[in-house]
Amino acid sequence: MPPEDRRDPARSPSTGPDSAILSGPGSAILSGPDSPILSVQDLHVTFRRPRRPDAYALRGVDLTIGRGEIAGLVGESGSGKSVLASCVLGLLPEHPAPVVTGRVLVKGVDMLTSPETRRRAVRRLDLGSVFQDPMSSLDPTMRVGRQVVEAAGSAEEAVRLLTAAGIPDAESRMRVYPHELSGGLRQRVMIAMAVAGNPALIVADEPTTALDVTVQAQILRLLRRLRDDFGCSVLLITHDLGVASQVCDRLVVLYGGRLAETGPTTPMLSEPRHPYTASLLRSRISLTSDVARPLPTMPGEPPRPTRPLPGCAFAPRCDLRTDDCEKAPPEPRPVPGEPGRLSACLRLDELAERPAEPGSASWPPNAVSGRGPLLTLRNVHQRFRVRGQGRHVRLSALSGVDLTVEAGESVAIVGESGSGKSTLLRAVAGLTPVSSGAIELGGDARPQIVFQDAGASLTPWLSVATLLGERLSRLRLSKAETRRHIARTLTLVGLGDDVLHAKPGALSGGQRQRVAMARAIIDPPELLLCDEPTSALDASRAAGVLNQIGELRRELGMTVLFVTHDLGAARVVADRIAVMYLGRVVEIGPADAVVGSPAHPYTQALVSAIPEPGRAIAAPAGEAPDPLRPPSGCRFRTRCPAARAECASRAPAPVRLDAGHLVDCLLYEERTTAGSAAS
Amino acid sequence: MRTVTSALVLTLTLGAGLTACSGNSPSAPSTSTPTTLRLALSADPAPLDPDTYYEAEGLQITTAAYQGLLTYKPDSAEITGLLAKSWKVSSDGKTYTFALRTDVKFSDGTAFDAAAMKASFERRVALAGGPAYTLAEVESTDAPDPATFVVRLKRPVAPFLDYLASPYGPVAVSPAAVKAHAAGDDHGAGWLGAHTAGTGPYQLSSVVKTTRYVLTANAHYWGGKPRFAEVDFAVVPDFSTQSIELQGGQLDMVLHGLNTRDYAAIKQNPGFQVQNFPTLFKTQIWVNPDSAVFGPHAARQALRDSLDTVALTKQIYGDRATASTEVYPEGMLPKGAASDMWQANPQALAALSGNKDKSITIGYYGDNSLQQLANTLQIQMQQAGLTATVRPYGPAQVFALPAEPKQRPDILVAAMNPDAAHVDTWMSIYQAAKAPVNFLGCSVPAADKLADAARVTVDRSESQELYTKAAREYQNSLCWINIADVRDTIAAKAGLTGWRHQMPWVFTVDLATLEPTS
Amino acid sequence: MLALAGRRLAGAVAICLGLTVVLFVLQHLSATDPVRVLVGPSASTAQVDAVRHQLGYDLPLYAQWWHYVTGAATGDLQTSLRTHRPVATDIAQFLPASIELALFSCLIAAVLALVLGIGTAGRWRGAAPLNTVLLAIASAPAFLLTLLGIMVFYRNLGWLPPTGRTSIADPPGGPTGLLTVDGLLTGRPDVTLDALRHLVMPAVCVALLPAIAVGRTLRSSLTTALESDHIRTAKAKGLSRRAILLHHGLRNSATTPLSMAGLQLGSVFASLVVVETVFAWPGLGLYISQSIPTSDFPAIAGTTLLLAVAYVAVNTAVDITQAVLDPRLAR
Repeated sequence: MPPEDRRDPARSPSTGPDSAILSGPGSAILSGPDSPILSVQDLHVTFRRPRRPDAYALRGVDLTIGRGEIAGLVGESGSGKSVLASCVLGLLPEHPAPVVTGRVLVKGVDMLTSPETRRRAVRRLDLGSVFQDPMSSLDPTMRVGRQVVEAAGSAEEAVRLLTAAGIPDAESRMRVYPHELSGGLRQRVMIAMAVAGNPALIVADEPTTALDVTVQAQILRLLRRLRDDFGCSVLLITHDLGVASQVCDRLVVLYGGRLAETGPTTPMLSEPRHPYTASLLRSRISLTSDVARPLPTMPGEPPRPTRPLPGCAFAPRCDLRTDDCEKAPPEPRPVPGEPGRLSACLRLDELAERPAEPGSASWPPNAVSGRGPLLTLRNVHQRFRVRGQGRHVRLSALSGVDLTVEAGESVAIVGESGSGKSTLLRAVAGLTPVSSGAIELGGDARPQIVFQDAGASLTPWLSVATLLGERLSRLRLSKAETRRHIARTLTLVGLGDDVLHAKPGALSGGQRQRVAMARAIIDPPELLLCDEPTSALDASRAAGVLNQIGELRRELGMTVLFVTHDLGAARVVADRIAVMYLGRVVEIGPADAVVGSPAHPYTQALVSAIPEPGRAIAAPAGEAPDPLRPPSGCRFRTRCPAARAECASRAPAPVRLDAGHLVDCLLYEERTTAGSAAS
Repeated sequence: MRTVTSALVLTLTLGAGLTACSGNSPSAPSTSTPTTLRLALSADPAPLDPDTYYEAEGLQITTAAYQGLLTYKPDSAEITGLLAKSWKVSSDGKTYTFALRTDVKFSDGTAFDAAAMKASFERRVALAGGPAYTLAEVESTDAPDPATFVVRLKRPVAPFLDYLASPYGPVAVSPAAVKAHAAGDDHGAGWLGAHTAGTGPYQLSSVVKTTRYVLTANAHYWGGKPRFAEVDFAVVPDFSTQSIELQGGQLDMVLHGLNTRDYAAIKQNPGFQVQNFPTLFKTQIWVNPDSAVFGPHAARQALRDSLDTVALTKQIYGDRATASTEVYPEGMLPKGAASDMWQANPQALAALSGNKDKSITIGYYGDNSLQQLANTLQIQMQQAGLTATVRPYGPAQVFALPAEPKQRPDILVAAMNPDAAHVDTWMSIYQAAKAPVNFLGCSVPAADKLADAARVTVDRSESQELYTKAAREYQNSLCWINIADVRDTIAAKAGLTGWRHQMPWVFTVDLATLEPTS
Repeated sequence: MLALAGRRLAGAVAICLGLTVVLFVLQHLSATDPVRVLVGPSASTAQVDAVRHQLGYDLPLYAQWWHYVTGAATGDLQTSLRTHRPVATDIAQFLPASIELALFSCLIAAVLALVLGIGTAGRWRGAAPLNTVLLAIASAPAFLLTLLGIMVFYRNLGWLPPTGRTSIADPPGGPTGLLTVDGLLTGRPDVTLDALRHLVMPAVCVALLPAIAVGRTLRSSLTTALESDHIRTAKAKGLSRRAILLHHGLRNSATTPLSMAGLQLGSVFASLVVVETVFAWPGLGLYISQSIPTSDFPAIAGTTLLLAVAYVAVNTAVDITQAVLDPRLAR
């Protein structure tokens, strides 16, 4: 059953999107009955660093948040959204102190100029904060209880808050250390601290980015509930429009340190009135992205804070730009006929009438040939000896994985943390020998691997030419041939000759990722292994990487094994998807089948937990159990809504549903014939 | 390291002078009364039982507390009576009869007599410690009456009287104290390690190991009452610290260990004095007869001729030593009998430059002066085309050399001193082929034979003549090249007078005669 | 944690056994003759051999070693060749002075390290020059510092005594052997005060270098810790600077400086030898510095064993403390 539609304004009891106010030039819009909780006025922040150019992080931002409102602050990395959060908390770095002008008022207290004691009192009483990485954001050496008490004041209150944050058995959890908790529980602890003392405003800076998708869904639901229960406002900072769409009453899109667009969530997502917002929405990888052709991407590079443009920051990437756009930064102005909406686009009127862009050309037909399997895994087990509770115990990371990958095929392994997907990849790469079972690589396949943070894995003091050239040493090419080869590969990954002599440090994150990719394919491997190559990237960049992989495998006939936690990315890049849970493949099948009609309750949960604009999310209860103590029988049964008694006693065997669509679930065992997957 | 330290102290002294300004230092809380003399020991001495004690550091204590039958006149090789008023030697040279003083008491109040002396001789033999060698040839002792003590030897021993006068020779130890404090069969050695029971002017009244040793005047002393009622020894291992403490007023005297520049600096200061006393110390170069370079006699000759002893002595010791002129320390042989001077020829070493084997090791054993000498030699060797390496030897290493021929350097720089002012104590310890500490194993059989004969020759002048012949043989071997006669140099605060010293004493003065000027 | 202590204890026994083997082999290879040093140059060869036999130095090396190890297991560390007393007795006598000095040094070092670490971790104007001065001091040799100390505080200013543990003629002999403590226990505060006056200079000299080493480590780990996410959380909670530093900053930056402190123990032992020699401090450092030239093997071996045990013990304590401070390490 579908959960309530959270974006329906009528269902928000305390407030609606109409209470959103944006004070700014030309705004004559609604003011709610309450005075704003947060008011940001013409905020400029410039970082001065010795021997480096000044960085203009924020260049005149206005923003208000009313009582009980959830505002989503959306932008790519470098847009200034985290700097804005620091300003709100009054926690800008002190050394070197940035140049700040404007006002940031939290319940009337200026967080920029008030004395530190005053600001501290505001932080203690009126503000709560939740940060991205709950592991590093909690003091690892202090018991959870004490950390909550620091904010809550008393142990009773701490227990109450922990319970309210959805932590079961809060009393006993007070005594544990952060590392003894799962990621989701840690973030709930952070949230418990954030709501301590009934703050007027919670600043949540990417609170779910480091979490698994099922846990993310739970946390988003919790944030929403807390607003309802405590009546506090929330400033939710995120790079993911999908996340913002799930909980926010109103969105604020930042670009290049300035406001691009703001307004109530639903109309903004259905009808963006700024080319950047539109572009963001288009390049978002979703469950409905068109996989028949390359994903739409944003051209060009994101703006550099060290070199602000005189005009609209988005102009270089915008196909509507006129000469006027490049003269002065456009001020946000109301969107006619849409109360509460502002856009900083000079041509916002034309935007509405713009026809949908024609999609790019379709991919050429796929290269999966009858060459036979390139990679076969048979009953692969991987066990590690790890220390736990003072003694060595056996961790079963892979428990009997079977998988066949045809030459030229692309297979995605999808799973949450602890599922064993990365272990599987490392085993295939030959980085760790498996405990038992067989991994057969056809031909003389020399797998190349692209890691998650591939840009950081480049040797910093070598030039791009050297980094690429050393991969060719095996081929014993002449200098000229080597140069040609490098140039061709750079073109293939979308880079020009200008980066040849640059060191990795001089490149942008996206360029580094491409160089890493070029390194992997310059001596084309038959098998390309990718370990979450997109998870650290903004949406538009991630789309670029996925397009590239799609292009490479089609041009070079490469076989790809792609590990990811993101079903959307898997669907785009893969012919087939294998879903893993606690060391097992629980479902495998054609990408469209697995995403479109998931059979396994876990796959179903994964699909419905993905935050998509215009779609409600649902999440299974709890989190993945400790891999050291996997449940008996079906490993998912502890979280499965359809679990039955026999699930505990019997491990399910693969059941064929359709051509190539297999599922490990007792629900399907009674079906003797391969039929359609139940929904 | 010590050189560096001293150089540093000097630098610091100069620097400190700027702030301290003409010596009116606010330091030196003058805790001492004029009746206390404050000295330093550079190490915790070995147990101070005179029958086992055989070191230099702490000799100041044993000589102040114990006395033997005989002694040397100040700074002379001439023997005189101490607990014995007079003595006779039988014509066969084997029986010695001593007439003892009758007014002597031990520090524990018991009387000294011939029986006590006999007991002391027997105790030394029984303990068989390092100094027991002095009585190795004693056949029996007798005390026919309290004032007569008779010693019979197995065969004549030419240096026997010198043994008795030596600071390591047999002394009177109170039999009552030995008996009272004996533990098992240790003859009281445990107790006597940290107490004294002798007839000397002082007795040890307090010992805190590695910290403090206190002598107080012996109330029963038969001689004149010493001017200092108390002598306080602090253990201060670092000589730089001792120097600072002397200049800061914490110490009255530094018995040894400073370097030439320190002494010169202290001498310049009107608040202090530096005393030099002749000793039996000789700084020598020992030559390894098995050395590839210096094995040939001609090479040793070249080495000797190249050495300008006057210049070297001046350079290294300043006025703390004089260039050696005789083969043995003054008084051991008649003056001029074994003269040891040559015309220095700096070019002499060049003769060795044609050698096939050019690398040599220069060892040194002893303080920084010897290291400096070794370094100077190294430079000379280098100039002559040899490759020389300098290597330090500690006591344990140097004493292992007789048994470890492979460890021997080509030449060894060392300053040695015998226990007594008799030439035999030098020859038989350092030079005889079977001598216990003939470090580099040089053997001169003809000389050994002459010395052995001299040792049992009763007639003194005949004996001396044989020793002189032996001396020439040893000298001609060129296994030992004398450089300097080293003095005992003592730095003290100004105003101390009554200095008295004996030649075999090491880092030691006569405490009983010292007096402060009022 | 008990298991950790147990493992370390077993390790310590193995280390000590290995150490004795090394010591015996070194002693054998060093071509020294401690017996001749003991009886003196004039003693006859027969006499030397007799003493050699009596001390067991004529036995084969492995027999000497076995004899030593079995003795050491029962607390018999043989007799010093220099002092003629059981080494165990010597150690028992000199140990308290060294312990007192070491304890005070550690105390001073800990305080200094904290002050330096916190003082230079903050980004105030003086942090960089202070850091440079500390580097300069840290590179000065220990004996230079000690002599400088004596020159200034004794010779020039006359504030502090130059040598020894006490100027009081009859200090209490017990019960702990630490004069500062015994003075209080026996109701003689003058002894404690006098002992403290004597302690200051040597203790500072021993403490200075480790304090700087640990302080600099603390500085870098504190700087890192204060920029970490959980400190941001603490700030966002509205905690005061002091609470953040004390409750979150220091504890999270303690592990590396603690390891450094454990490692510094070796240099503390080394500087104890120098400092005790210069300040005439009657402790184990002085004992061993006087034993080495005479090749007093039992004394050297006994002291070395003791230091090895102390080293292992302190580093075990460091490990346990780290586990207590950082629960992630306790697993």
